[in-house]
Amino acid sequence: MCTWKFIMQQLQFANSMTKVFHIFKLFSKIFIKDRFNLFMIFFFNAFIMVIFGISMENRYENDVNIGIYGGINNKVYKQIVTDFESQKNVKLKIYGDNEKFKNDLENGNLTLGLSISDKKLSLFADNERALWSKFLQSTVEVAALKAYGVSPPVVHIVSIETRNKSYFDFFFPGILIFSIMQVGLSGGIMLLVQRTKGSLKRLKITPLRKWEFLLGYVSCYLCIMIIQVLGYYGIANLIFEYSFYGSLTNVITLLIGSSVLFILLGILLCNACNTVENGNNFNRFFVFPASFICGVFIPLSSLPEIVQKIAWFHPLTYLVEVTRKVANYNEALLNFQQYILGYIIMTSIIAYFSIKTFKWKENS
Amino acid sequence: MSANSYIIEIVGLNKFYDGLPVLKNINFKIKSGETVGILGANGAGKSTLLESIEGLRKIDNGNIKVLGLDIKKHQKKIQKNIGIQLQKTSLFEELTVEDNVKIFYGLYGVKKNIIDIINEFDLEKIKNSKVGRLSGGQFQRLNLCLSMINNPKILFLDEPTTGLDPKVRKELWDKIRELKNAGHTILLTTHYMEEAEELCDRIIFMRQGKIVADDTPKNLTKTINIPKELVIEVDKPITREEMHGLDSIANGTQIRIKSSNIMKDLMFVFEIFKNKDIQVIDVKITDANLEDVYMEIYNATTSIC
Ligand SMILES: Nc1ncnc2c1ncn2[C@@H]1O[C@H](COP(=O)(O)OP(=O)(O)OP(=O)(O)O)[C@@H](O)[C@H]1O
Ligand SMILES: [Mg+2]
Repeated sequence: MCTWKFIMQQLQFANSMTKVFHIFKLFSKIFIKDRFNLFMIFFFNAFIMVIFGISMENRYENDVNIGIYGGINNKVYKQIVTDFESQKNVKLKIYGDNEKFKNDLENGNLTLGLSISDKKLSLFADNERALWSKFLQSTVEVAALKAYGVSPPVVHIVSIETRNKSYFDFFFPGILIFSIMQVGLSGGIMLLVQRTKGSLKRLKITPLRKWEFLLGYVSCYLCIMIIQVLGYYGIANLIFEYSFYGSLTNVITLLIGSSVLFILLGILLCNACNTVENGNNFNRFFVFPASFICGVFIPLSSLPEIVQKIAWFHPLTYLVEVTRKVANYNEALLNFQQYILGYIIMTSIIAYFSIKTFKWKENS
Repeated sequence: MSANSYIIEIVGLNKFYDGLPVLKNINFKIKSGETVGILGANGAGKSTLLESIEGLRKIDNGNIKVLGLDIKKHQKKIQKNIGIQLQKTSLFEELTVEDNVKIFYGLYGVKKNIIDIINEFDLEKIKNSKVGRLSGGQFQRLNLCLSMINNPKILFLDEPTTGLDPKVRKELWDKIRELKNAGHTILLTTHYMEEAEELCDRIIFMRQGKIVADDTPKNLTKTINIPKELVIEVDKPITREEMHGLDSIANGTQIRIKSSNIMKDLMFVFEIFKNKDIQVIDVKITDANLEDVYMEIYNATTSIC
């Protein structure tokens, strides 16, 4: 009796999965057939990415990041820290681990590196940043002079190759999340079009269940987003030699997390709107300002304070911020526990309402 | 016949839209294999009734059983075994006819060769056309094809031939008749009396959400006392006044007379013709048709609705 029940359950599951697969195929086909949408979403963003990437190369320097390794008890160290703390644009990062210090230097996460021991002061800098190293050299020399009184140790300048963190590095993680958002919401609009036309009503009268339909839809859009991210990454890698510096697992987790959030938001948008026109208006309202207030193309810190405050009401801001830090600076996901908690709560709420309020047809 | 052999049973069905009643105490049963036509004016509630039976609309009270199962509890089980053609519907317009058929094949888990059904519904020539570009008749044929994919026991057709040209309509009738002969139970709505007469074993008339008549087309025309029409062709023109008060229309040499007693009225006109030396060329007696029944019922029920 028990085996019989088990077999029946398995058969039913296989049956459901077939239906999910057919919905998956249906939406993939619709997506591919909609050439204009395809162009706007896939190629337009790629185009913008390349144009911005080429024209804005090297123009982006936010703060001067100086990494210091060793000599915590050294007098010079203390003097330097006091001197730099008063400087507005300089950020100090103290390293206890030589390996990590070198790593960050080579990846361009630091503008300059300073290694301090009792006998030797070494300044690590890329030739391209000669100006910065001159500035730092003199600052260090002054600090050393202050600390030792008369004969300061010599500052060795060590020339190193570092990867240049350009404007492209800055905006690439942002544009990935931004595009994911666009696809997610445009999926919602497509669903809305199908619903208002009555095609979803036609599906409802088949043996298809709500969860099978939604699972098919979500997995289809997840796949579209994965292909899109891979495509963009390919371009970034080939043309701009970009690669994720941070943990790949963390980056993938963030990308998939963002995809799920925006697909669900798309469904919610579809449920909440009665007409396609409404949906499009909402979409514009959500997407258009996001491209410049959420830190995708312009660093948040360079926006007026009031705009920055508004930006934190948009989920995109959080996702872009975290993804950029994780992908470019290898920050651990655990450093963002509050954001992660916020994400989980928000996504659960959106998931609940998008499934709960989903409708196949207008109310009757 | 036991009660269980009814394939559709509706008891005390009521439905409201925004507090206004749209279906009022609907009761009827349909036997397996019957073809039933629902007739009524625009807004009478035909589509609402059909979609309530299909489980597409929530009902406010009453019970609907389809294939012996309660629609409220077994919606999906029932939907697996019925075929539906909606009045207002859309398919996936961006995709081809074949793609659309494939999706529905997949959703019903049908294993048959897709080409067979495409041929059966005469869709092979348009199978690569986008659905959005089909003509009304082609679209309806595709719609009928999709509603037949799961070889359903019951077929619901909501105005399957509205807006089609007479030739295409006749073709669709043939198809529907074929399905009827193959033993499918069919419930259809229509505005064409001719269609109902051609296809249906039984007619349900609706008026403002109520069933006002429910019988075979033959019985309906028989039981409702509708005057027959006499059409007489004569050799000389004659006026209405010359007909001495008969309910008639004279048009040159043709006279049309509404008559409840054919023999009496015939004798009476022949007497007039004889006096005026008029020769009769032709006499036709036409039976009341469903259209007359429809108008009669419509007029007769004005007071009760
Ligand atoms: N979703 C809805 N919300 C509110 N009222 C509705 C809704 N759908 C239908 N109605 C109303 O219910 C009544 C019956 O509509 P229904 O579509 O069932 O009529 P019908 O007999 O199919 O008409 P037709 O021959 O024009 O198709 C109409 O008065 C209509 O305005
Ligand atoms: Mg209708």
